[in-house]
Amino acid sequence: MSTLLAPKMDFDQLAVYQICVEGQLDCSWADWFGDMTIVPQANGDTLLTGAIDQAALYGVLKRVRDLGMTLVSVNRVSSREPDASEVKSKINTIPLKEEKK
Amino acid sequence: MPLARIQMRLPSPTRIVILARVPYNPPMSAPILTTKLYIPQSRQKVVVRARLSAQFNETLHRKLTLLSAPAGFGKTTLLAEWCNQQRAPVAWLSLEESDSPPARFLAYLVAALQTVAPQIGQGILPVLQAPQPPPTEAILTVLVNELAAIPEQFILVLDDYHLIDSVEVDHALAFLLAHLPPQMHIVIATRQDPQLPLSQLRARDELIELRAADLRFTFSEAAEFLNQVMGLNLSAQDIQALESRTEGWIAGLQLAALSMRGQTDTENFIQSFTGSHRFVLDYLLEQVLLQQTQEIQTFLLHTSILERLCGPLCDAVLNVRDGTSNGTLAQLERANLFLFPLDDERLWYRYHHLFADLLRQRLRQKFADASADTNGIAELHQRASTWYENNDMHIEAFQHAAAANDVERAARLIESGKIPFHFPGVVHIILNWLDALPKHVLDARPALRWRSAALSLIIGITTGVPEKLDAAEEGLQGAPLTKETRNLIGRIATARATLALTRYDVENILVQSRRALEYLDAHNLPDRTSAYWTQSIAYFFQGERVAAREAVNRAMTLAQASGSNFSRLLATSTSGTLHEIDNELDTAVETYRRALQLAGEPAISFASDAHLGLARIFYQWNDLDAAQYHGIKSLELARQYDRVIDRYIVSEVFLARLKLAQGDVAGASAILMRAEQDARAKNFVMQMPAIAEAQVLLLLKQGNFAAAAQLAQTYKLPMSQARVLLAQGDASAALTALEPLRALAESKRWADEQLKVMVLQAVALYANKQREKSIELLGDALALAEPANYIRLFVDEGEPMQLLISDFRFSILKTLPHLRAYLEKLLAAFQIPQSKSEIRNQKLVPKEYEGSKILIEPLSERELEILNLIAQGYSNQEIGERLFLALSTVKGHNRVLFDKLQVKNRTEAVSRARALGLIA
Repeated sequence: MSTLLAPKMDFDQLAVYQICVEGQLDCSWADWFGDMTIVPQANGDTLLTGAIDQAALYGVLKRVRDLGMTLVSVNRVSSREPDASEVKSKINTIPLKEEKK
Repeated sequence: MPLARIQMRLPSPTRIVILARVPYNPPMSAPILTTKLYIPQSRQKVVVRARLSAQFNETLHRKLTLLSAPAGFGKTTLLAEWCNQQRAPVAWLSLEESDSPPARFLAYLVAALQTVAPQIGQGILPVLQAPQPPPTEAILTVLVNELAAIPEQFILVLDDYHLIDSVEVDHALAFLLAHLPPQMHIVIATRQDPQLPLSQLRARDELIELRAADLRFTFSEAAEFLNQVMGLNLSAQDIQALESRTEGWIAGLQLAALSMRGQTDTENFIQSFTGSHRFVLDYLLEQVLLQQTQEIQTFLLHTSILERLCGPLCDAVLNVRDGTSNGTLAQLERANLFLFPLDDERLWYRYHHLFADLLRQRLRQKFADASADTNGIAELHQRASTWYENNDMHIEAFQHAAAANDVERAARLIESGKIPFHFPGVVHIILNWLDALPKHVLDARPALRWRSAALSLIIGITTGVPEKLDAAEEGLQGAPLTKETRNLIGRIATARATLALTRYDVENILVQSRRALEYLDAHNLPDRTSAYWTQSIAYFFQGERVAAREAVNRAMTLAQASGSNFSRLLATSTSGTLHEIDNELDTAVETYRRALQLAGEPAISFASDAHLGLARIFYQWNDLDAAQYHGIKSLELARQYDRVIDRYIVSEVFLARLKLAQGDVAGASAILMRAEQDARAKNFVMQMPAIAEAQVLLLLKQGNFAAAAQLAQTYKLPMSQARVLLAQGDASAALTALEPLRALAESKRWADEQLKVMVLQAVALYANKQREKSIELLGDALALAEPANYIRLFVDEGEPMQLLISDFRFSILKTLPHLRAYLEKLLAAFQIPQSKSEIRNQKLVPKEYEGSKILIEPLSERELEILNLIAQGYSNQEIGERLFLALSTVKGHNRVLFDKLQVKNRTEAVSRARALGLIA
């Protein structure tokens, strides 16, 4: 995982981020979140996933803030630019971050 | 020295202002949106939140109250309710994203404060409209001083502060908090904590915080809201269920209540709502919309594109002509559908930001689903744009045209001349749009390329401008030569002349400004003003002073006609310089002072040149303190220019020469060393001769003739070379060096240069034992210098000149008897310490002037400062503004000052101070 990598300055690098928010959203919200993939989770949370750079990440977080949604977690799951199939397969293998209290 | 070389030398390059600018539109009334200053007044019942009011009321004992909570926690409603109950006046400002540029934020801040105290910041608003306004702290200093004079407690509310995305605004606010007058209190409502020193404020108990945990509805508040305010009739159990599902989130409760209105089976609704995992708002908005008629649903969705709503605008966007929207808006407000009124007449409303976001999301979905109507949203924006244009709100018209991606329309609006470019932030809005346009769109529209270049220059950016202008020209190739294309060719040339000015490229300035004047439309006053102004500076560079005067006069006339203070400031300032170099110092002072008035207070950076002009003249008049005051002012202002502009070096060189005159050789040396290093590092080659000239004077003072000679030789400075030769005892060689310069100055009618050469020639002739010639020349020089009252011109020559004048005074007076008083003044100036600071250093040893008594108690620095300003004719009010003192403080100083001088009024004070040698 990315935590094992030495820190480097890669502001312009795309990376796959997963943002977990409380409450379920359907995929019609994808364009609101800058075309992130929206996957509802079994525990009632929603995972927003996409290959984005730092600026776009803050843009998505701002959108979360502006909807008044509760942010559960933000994770970087890959530090390289992935291809589409990789994104898909990653999403499917990602375990749920945490159980809802 | 070969003559050709001298001609190559630009006369007095140290005096020239180099600025990146293009004319900027005449100020119109600033489009301050008063709806942003309105405290929302609810017609509805609201939940009385006594527990919060109690905390809130502590506001008047603290500097800052912070409402920091996510969207939909009722911040605005709570705040408005509280403000409406306050006895203390409230200045309210609803912020928007476009308020992030500091100048724009300050403009609205001042406008909001004016609702409490109409006199506040009247001098500030005009300077904020300058392309490059003064630094924020200077503006805030003036503002804080004015706020401190408000006698009563008052509150400033900044709502939606999270929309501001600017470190500078955060700093400005931190500065304001650090210097907050005790009767002022600030309340900030925001979705995220602002970048302010909150922990420090907490530690000092200067902060009250209300956060999400405080703001969410308690059970009893939820009960009151659902059953009293929203008129439902829910059981305690239902309320409990809703409260826990929404976690007291007010927006959620409100949407839930709206969904249940008119529903008989509320229990069923609550069950499915609490059973659903869906995001509360997503779920509820759907329910709320389902409750509305088709008309209302369409109304809500289609008008959600608007930042502000009024009946006629909604009619236009919905494309209905029956005027029903007014009624719909009133109905929505009554129904609690997240609509805030923005004025007392209920002409303008806005949706709750969160609600509007949700509606827009639905609107996008709706049009995405209905694939046949892909242009739907653009069409709504176009209608809004048309309505705004017809109602003379051109910035909004532009923004909607841009949102509709209607390039034609947006471009037409930009060129309509009705968009107030001088209003803070507007240039950035338009420039951002232009820069984001695709290449093929711009290729087809050379006028937009030019506009983009011109707007960059307005805000002092030269990078990328030549490319934009090249592209514009390319786009014009093959186009028929209509009136419009001719004017556009002229505009491109104007911009190129301005660019050339920043590079001291005289030839090109002249070529481009001539081309501009040939092509520009006769009615295009702003561009024609600019073309004449750049032309006058180019002529000035070349030493063609008659032509420069003619061009600047034309620029002045056009600037006057165009009504733009800013254009007038530049033309007036340059006009002052042209008077100065013609030895018309009184007229020059008057002109520079007019320029300073146009520059406002705190002055914009473009006032630097007028200050420097005044500094040079006061220096010549041997008022070294006034010279220092203006010199430092000019340096401070010049430092505000773009880093690539070398203007501040000119001020530094002046201050170094001033230090030499004050006898501070080490100080002068330090300034020059730094200036030289800077100029080398930044490649400011145009400033090197002026630095070298001052360094020669310094080296001669230090007795380092060899280094001085080399420097004078390297930079081909004939005056400096003559000085070195004189110092080395070779007067005849000095005379040879000066001769061609004198001939050139005379043939070109460079009055100031001629006078300077004559003075040095007189000294050289005297040293060369050519007594008769020396007397004659000195007499001529004195006769030329006397009307302008030049002092330092002679005093700076030191002992040789002193000997010369005292030796020859009687022979000169025989032929020029009217010079008696002037000669006496000069001789006195050789003897007395000229600087008040020197007098101060000597613990104020007063001179024994006839009929004047000794000053019993020395004056303080501040009192001397004020005394000098009084002597320069400034009113108490003006003195206060200049020194950042309250009027009463100035008057207080005056009283002490008069006491110490033992006089009764300002006039007496000035003449007494002159007699005591305290001021020149």
